Amino acid sequence: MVHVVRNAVEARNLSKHYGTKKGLIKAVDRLSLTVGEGETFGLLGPNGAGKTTTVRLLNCIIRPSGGTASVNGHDIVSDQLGVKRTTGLLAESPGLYEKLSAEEFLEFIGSLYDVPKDLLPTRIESLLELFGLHGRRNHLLEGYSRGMKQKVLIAAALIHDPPLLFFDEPTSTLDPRAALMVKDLMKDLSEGAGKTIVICSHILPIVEELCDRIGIINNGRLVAVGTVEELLSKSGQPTLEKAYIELTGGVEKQELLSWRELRSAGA
Amino acid sequence: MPGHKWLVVAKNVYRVRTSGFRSVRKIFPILVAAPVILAIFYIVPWFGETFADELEVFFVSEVAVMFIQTLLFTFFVLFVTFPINFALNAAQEEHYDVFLAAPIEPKDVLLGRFVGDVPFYTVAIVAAASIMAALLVPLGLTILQGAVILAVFALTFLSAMWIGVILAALIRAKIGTSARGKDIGRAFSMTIALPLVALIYALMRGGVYDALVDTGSEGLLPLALDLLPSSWGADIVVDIAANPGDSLAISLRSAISFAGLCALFPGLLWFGSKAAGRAYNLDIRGLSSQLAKPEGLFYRSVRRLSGSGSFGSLVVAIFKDYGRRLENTSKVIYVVGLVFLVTLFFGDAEDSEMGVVMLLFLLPFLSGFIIGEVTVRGKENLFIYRKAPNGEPRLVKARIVQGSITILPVAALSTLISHMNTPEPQAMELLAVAAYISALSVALVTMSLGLFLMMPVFSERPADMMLNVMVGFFFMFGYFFAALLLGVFAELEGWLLILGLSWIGGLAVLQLGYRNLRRME
Ligand SMILES: Nc1ncnc2c1ncn2[C@@H]1O[C@H](COP(=O)(O)OP(=O)(O)OP(=O)(O)O)[C@@H](O)[C@H]1O
Ligand SMILES: [Mg+2]
Repeated sequence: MVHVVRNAVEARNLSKHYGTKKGLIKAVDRLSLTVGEGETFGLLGPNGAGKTTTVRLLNCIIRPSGGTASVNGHDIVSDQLGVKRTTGLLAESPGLYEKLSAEEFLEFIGSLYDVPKDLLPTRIESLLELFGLHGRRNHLLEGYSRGMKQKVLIAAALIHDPPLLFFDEPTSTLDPRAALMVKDLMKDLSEGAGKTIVICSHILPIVEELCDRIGIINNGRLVAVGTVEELLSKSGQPTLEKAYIELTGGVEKQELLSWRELRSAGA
Repeated sequence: MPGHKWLVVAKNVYRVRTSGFRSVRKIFPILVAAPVILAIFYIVPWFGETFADELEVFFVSEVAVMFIQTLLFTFFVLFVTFPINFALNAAQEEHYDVFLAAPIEPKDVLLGRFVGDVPFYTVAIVAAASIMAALLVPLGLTILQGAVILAVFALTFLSAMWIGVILAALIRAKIGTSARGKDIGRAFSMTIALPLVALIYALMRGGVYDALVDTGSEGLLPLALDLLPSSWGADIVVDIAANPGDSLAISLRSAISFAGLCALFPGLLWFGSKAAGRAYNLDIRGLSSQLAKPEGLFYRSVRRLSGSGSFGSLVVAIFKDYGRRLENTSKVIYVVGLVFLVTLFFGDAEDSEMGVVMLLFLLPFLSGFIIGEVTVRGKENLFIYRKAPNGEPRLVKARIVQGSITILPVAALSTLISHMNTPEPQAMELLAVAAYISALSVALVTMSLGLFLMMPVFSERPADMMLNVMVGFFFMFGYFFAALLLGVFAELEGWLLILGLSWIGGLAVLQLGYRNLRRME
């Protein structure tokens, strides 16, 4: 078990609203959340629940409409610099300079995060080795496949070796082997290097295996939080998948093939 | 509903084009047409009436034939190049996969795109045709004659557009959709306008015009022009202008021309879709993976110039991403080409100030083209900087350094070119002008950066890009006007005033842009 010294993430009533009064979207709605230092935390929730928005708020990419949060002891509004220095982010749809090679891109990101000059080249080298991209490090990113780009972006999130890492759907474009590698990497980062990790994912087995605690978000609100066992007992379900469905509103029985009948009726 | 797939595509094109103003989508054509019609029937005729006598003299002269011929020709080329330009910029790249997956034939895609764009081109056609018609109204045109003129313009332009669409498709099929191919396409789309500009300048000032009139039908150029469909239309218009009010007084030549035009368009449609169906088989070529070149002397110098440290790496990274896009190079070439052409045709050996004024007005374009890159890769790209500690100020600084390093040599070269007519250029004067233009360039880079951050352009569509560039241009126009008003233009004080205003304006706009960059979500 991980020894929790202090909280890496502490959010209190964090809110983010989009749109005008007429069509107000509460992407994140008075969310309170703590992630202990050294903990691996999983964020689950249906599409549009507010996971990405939460991660963006905690990384100072967007400003909260209400509430506060501190990340590694730095306030996300008043001490953005402190937050940015001590976190790494793999965004859901990250920006990329397509006309740079993998090596050049990592050098660019490394410089942005002020990685010491004598350290940077070897770090780039070993990250590229790790992701099996060393052979194509001089190729422009525009020619990379989606999964290869994802690997480069994960490497970029690690380049300044921050104590807290956010991964927004890290494995959604990766092949099974690469997904396994990334999963093991996250495990090692947590167990071997003592990193705090926040993962947003729809892949329940990964979340179940890696995460010390899991938070379930629905409609911008945290509806449940705890270890897998706690979630199971809270929902009274045997598996995480069933618990997830139960906690996010259950299933309505739908006639899944009804859309076909209309067609034959119309023809 | 099989058989009408092009209609589906056309509707989609229209929706995409009008996505910016959804609420008025349905009435957009009317909204645009109304003021145009107002202009035709009230404003232009009034203007025409005042000059009725002169107009009558003009239209029976030899010059009229040449004038209308070149006018139509210019529009013709413009309409051919416009769709090429658009298609090569690959604005609809994303829809490509959709078409690939759906059971649809290439000719339907092409025809659909063409038809979807017609409402927009119609506005231009109606405007051009009605100005011509309105000029003739005071001479006593019959309704039939007016309709014929409108038809001539519409047929000529639609033919040109269709040719453009087909050519664009063929070019794209040739260069493929690889990243490299797209680059080449975009680069090509920019410079394709240069020959056209050269031609217009040559006609306006270069004496080609006089030559055309003098040689009558003997020279090669008039013969070549005669073969173009645009000239057939000119015959008809001039014929009508010479016999206003008499619908039947049409020469055999005009009648044949008109028949030819009427036959040309459907012929082109048929032929075009056949040709395109063959060549443009909608298949995506394999991605050719490109290698990054090892850092040469240039990037090493850039790195050193910007202080070696992490900031140097930043500037170099931005520079590489900029420099490896061919279209950026072609934009710079385009501006330098303009400087050359304007100097060639309008340069006055006696009056070197006009050269500087020309540079003054071309520089906002140059700086806009260079800096416009900053937001084009989208918000996500800007968020890279937002996430990094102090990322945004660094982005702004790095862009200014990169923009300045790019613009300075180009500005120096343009200064040299703008003096090529001067018989014995004084080294000191050249140096002074170059220094002045350089100081101005950096101010304009600052302003362009501010503009693009204030009104970010998240797409590669040239039209969106041009808006900011035009705003920059109007700023410069304002400075220039201030100097004129204060009566110090073309004096040292005037030049300094323009420079000072450029810097003040540049820094102010940058401040606003920076604020917007930090707020953007
Ligand atoms: N920039 C924006 N403007 C307007 N609405 C937004 C914006 N960003 C997010 N939203 C809205 O906020 C809500 C939450 O979105 P968010 O991206 O956080 O969901 P998510 O949980 O990450 O979903 P997914 O699993 O699909 O990634 C959605 O309803 C979305 O439409
Ligand atoms: Mg998300």
